[in-house]
Amino acid sequence: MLERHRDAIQEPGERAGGGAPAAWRSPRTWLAVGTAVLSGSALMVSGASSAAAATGNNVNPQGILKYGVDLNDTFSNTFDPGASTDDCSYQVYSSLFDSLLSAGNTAVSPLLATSYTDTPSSITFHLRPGATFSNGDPVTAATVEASIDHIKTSPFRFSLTYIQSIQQVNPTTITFTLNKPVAGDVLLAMTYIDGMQLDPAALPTGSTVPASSGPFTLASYQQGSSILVKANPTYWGKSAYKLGGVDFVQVSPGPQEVSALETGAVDMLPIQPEDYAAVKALPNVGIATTKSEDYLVMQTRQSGAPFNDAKVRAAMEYAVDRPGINNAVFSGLGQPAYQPFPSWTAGYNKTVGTKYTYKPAKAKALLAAAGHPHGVSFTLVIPSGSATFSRTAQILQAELAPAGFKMSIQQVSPTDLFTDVYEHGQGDAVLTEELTNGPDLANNFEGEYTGIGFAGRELGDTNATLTPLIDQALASLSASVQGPLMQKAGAIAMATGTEVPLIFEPSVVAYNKSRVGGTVVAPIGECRSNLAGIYIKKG
Amino acid sequence: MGSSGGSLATFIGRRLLIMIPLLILISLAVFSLVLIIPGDPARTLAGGNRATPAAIAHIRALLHLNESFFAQYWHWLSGVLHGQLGYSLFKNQSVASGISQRLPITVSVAAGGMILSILIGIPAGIVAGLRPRSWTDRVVSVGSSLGVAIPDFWLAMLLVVVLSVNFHLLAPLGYVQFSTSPYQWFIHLIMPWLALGIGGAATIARQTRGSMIDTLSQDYIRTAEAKGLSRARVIGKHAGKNALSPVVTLAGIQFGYLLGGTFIIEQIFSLPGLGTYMLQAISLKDLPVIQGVVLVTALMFVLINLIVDVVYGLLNPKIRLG
Repeated sequence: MLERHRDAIQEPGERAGGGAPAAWRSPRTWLAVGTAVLSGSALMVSGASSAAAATGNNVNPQGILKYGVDLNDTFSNTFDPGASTDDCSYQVYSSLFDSLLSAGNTAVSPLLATSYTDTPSSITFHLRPGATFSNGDPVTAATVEASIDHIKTSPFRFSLTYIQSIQQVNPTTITFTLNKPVAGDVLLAMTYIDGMQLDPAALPTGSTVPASSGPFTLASYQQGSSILVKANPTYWGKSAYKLGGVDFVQVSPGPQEVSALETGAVDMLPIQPEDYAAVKALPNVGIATTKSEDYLVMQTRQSGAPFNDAKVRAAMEYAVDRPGINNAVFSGLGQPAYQPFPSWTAGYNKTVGTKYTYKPAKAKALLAAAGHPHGVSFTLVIPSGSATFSRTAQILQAELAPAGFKMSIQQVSPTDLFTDVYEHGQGDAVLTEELTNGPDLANNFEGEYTGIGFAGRELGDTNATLTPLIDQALASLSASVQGPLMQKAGAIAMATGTEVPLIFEPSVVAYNKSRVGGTVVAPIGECRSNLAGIYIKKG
Repeated sequence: MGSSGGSLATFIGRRLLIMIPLLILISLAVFSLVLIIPGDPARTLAGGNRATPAAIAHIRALLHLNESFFAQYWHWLSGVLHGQLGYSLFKNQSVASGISQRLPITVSVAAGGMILSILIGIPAGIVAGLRPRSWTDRVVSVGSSLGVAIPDFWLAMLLVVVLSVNFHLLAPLGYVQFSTSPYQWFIHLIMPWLALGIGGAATIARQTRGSMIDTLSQDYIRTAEAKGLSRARVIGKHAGKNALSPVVTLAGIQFGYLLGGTFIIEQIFSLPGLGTYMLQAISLKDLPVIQGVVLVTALMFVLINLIVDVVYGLLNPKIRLG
């Protein structure tokens, strides 16, 4: 999909499970927790324990899960996260390296840090006692500082530039002092590549022979073909992992994904919406779906006509039949995005609710009021090579027509979007994705519509009324802090037509039921994998 | 013998000399990709939409992107002449290393397809050419027409559905290194070879058939038969050599075609060859990789043409004098 357009900080990690327990959502300081509550393993413990017990004897402890992934497109060809040029490498890295924290859809949870305390401009992490790298070296405050120093050399790790200084309080306590009140932003980054823990002693060979801090260690690598990782016997949370290893197998995108699953060439792979019907029809294949905050969105060029007129933008919000797109493109698995935050997050604004349902007559009237009684024409740019984008655009074209929007579609190579659309001003609107907010509700808006926001800078979509709300929200990850602020921000964004959110995209994985046991949980978004709690069956 | 060997050496030397300006032109054309490929890798490398103008400018300078075309060309060419094809912008490795890892896979796919093409195409063409308008000729004609008409990628998908999905005979994707398991290497390449080789076999069969029919109608063949030579000797010694001369040329062209065909076939069978490397580089605008792969592919074409010329010269000494 639109991977090269991804923003590093928009990528909270997820070790397992679709969300953390409610008790973890509000407190800003956790009590230390034991290994049993390893991130999403909490879900495994609560939701899948009976199933696991029932099938406990069926676990093949040496079983290797063959996980289909497009390594050519998504892996940076290095096992040094600091040298990664593709955020999708997270899918493999997260099996090898623990971050300080783990992210679910609505909250972060402990990983190598068992707890933290934060103010808007500082964060203190308490590290997991006894955690080691796969070579036996301990994870300490010194290694954390070295990891951060190493990874922040990457231009993709923007959030680390907010860390002004690091103080090692004691071997298991470390404090980040920030140069801006953006603790929420940095906390989110600590769930992702930015927060991955590397052994400084192993850095010289880290690109090929990494010392693992995660549940698996690298066993072999064949470029563009396979990455085999095996269970890390020294991992602090190994009880949550039942796989003997994972073989990330190259599967090119397209129909071969379905045949790979059907023939047993892979045991599990994430699937695209267009493949859902075909995969669902396969016998012996299971499908797991997780709700996601990733959403498909139309951004408009507000620096020029016709979208420099707020009434035209308001008309657009009513001219889109979101359930129609969800049913046709996402097989009904997604959720219509009537506002930027889904109903199960603290950012959801009940007053806005589903106000922006499909009302073509109202949209037409708004257009007429804006001085366009005969409608307006515009060009929507979409990234080429994606059936999801292509189908969505065609449906949009049909839906918008009754309201008076005459939309033409222009396909552009995903890597050319930066230059063609944003720099050279091609098209009047662009269909894109906002990739996971995770627990940081302010993250996407910060990256788009503030003074440093991308759409704001390049499309003229800066919304000054949003900026103070976002700035306040970035100071904390607490839902009680961010929620009310982002509810206001969401309402403003919709009222002013800052963007046209379309669908909260589902995260879907398919798996071979005869091979894979345990509770399969799809990750919260693209370029992730959930490996905890699943196993390969005996026989 | 000596003069024959000498004329062959002269012939090869002449062909090698012709290659020099050709290679210079190819290198210039390859480097010109800089001008025609849109996008801005400097921006992507500088952090995408978070990139600051200063960071973009810094990377642009590092990559010599802000220099003149000919200055950039010179940087690149001097590297190429020292065996350095540059460094991938996104894959954390040198282009030469990336190509050296992937080239054997592409060559093994193309060579296997070529061998299959020859093993099927030449016997089928000879059989058909020996008995024009017989039922065997008609079977070969219909089969070769189908083989030519069916696109490689479609045939590949058909093979996956039939041989992997329905009958579970072969792995639908993936690659196993020869050193890891020769048997698994072979098994994983059967379908790619078939997908590539059937079309090539059809083309070669048609050419061989036509060439054989033409040759068998020549006077010297009738003379040989009138002298009482056996049918097998006439075909094997006299007709075969002449009939196959144009097939050699075709096979050379066909090998180049198969090399190009592997780019799609690799994608379908998830083979980590030059094709997937190239397609990925194109989508990322990884210019050093694109230039490197195009250059190496072009050099292979040139080399194949040289080999074809030499073999053709061996088969037909008149060519050496041209």
